[in-house]
Amino acid sequence: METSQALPALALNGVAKQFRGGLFGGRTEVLAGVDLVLMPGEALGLLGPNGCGKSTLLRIACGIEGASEGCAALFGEDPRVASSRGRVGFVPEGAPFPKALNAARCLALCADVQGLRGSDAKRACAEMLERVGLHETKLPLAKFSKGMLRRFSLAQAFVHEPDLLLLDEPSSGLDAEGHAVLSSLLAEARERGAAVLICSHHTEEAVGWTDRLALLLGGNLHRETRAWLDGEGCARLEVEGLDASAIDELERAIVERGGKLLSRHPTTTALLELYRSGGE
Amino acid sequence: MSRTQTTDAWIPCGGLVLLALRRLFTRSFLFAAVILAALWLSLDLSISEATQTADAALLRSTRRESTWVLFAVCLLPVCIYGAARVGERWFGGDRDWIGARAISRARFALSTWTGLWLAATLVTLSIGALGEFMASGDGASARRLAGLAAPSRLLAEDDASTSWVLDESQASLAEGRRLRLELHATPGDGPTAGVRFSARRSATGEVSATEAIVSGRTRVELALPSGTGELELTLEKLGRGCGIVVLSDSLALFEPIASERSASVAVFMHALFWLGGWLAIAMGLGTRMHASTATALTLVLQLPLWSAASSSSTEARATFAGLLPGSELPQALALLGDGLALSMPAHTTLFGFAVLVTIGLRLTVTGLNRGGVS
Repeated sequence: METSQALPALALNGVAKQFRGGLFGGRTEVLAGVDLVLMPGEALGLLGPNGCGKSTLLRIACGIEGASEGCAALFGEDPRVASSRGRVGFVPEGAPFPKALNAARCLALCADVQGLRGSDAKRACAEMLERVGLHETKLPLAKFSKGMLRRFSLAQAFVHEPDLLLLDEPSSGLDAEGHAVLSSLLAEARERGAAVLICSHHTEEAVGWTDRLALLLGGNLHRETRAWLDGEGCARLEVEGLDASAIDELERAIVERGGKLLSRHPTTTALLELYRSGGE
Repeated sequence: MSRTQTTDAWIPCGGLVLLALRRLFTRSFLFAAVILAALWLSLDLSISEATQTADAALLRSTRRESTWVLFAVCLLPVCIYGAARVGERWFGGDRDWIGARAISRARFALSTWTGLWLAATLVTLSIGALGEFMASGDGASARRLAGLAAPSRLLAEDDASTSWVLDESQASLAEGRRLRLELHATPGDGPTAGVRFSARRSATGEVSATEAIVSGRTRVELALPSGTGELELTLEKLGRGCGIVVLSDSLALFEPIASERSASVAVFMHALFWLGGWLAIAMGLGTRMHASTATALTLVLQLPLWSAASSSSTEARATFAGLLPGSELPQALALLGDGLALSMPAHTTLFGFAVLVTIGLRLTVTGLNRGGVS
């Protein structure tokens, strides 16, 4: 165990990926030699525009696809070896789960395939469904909304308490409550020392849930620092515990210092409280 | 530390077995099967009313055969298609939630094949049960033990005859068993001809004989004389009449059995091995081409194989049929229609079955790994 603790949860070494396509099998390069090390307990946010290769990077990291060049390692093992994936929780981009099953059955199936069995599995599945708020629905996944499917995606990724979480746009489609569930699941995972890699388009999410950020552009991992985003003279502040007049004062202070307030809107927390109060 | 446990790679994953089974038994599949069964039952009722005077054993065997053929033709290709869709489902989304889990592609393929085979077994079992329900009766029957060597001859002239010797190298020629010789009439002096078919024990001189009138395709049955050991067989044309053709694969050995239902069981067993092997092949092909193409290719492949199994020489056919699962299925169905049973698949069929499944699973795993994952 001590040996595995010292090993990176995820290590990518010169990972490149090309896809073949077209009549003459021309190659399109998606990743061009990505190096990345993620130690246990670390959380990294991976930012980048659509089609930059974020999802491909995650798929290579968890063994769904192979790299054209370079290699990946999960806790020192090749992710293409099934046993190495036992410690990974993956939230895929869409919701590819068997749509004819209801959430309980599908989660039990996911746990079974992952190697989680017996009474432990039953208990873990029931608890996780309650956590994500899907414990009462008997509907098949085909009838789920996008947000419900996302909640299910989270449940299947966290149910076996993985040591490495690879999350592809985990908050996409989530409502305020779902967002809060995701935050708490991530916080718990980090508390027990799990490593987290989150792909997102949204800077604020990546900043809130991770220690450091990396930007994937043109197939390369460009910068891997959080200070870089703060250094642009532009930041997002979320304020809690002030009344409206105090926030007005804060806004004036920003303007006095030569700044410009780009937006002002209720926080997710406020929206969540409104949901919980039943709109009263 | 993660809660997952490592499992033996060669034990199918129960969840995936059930998923494959459930994916085949869709509501539309079950609905279609029930509608087909209802239609078939109502059609059979009208046929029964029209054929009250027909021979009961003949009616039973006809019902069994027609039920098997109809439902096998309608439902078993759907099972093959279900297997061929595994690749399509994998690349269409399954790999995004299964591929990242602690299960190897080989175990996934094995589990899925197990589920599909189980589903196909249930379908086949249901067809057999429906066939028995339709037949609604039983009687004594005979089981085909082996095809025996016969000379290829044309008996064209009056009083022509041919003789050959059977030893026990192919099958035991013990008392109580029966020989069945299939004869074909060819143009000659009239539309029919009389024949005498006899068997004589070389050691004891015991003889048994039977006479028949040949017209079109005629089967002549002969009980073996008492004793054991080598037999001298003689086929004589009695007087004038049409020409009589004996083909090299026209002689078979049967033994009496107590129940006609053994014929259905034999068809079921042959279908089971056939499905097991070819579901794996369809799965493998389906990871490399469109599911419809893979299904069509798998089914079309059966034609030359069945043709080879039925047209080669007796010895070669026995070897071939013994090795290739399901190659005797057409013969089992034909015998079922005659109220007779084919023998159970040979031990060598198990070997052929294992080879076919291994090839199919290997094709599947390499197909699923396309895209660089090994």
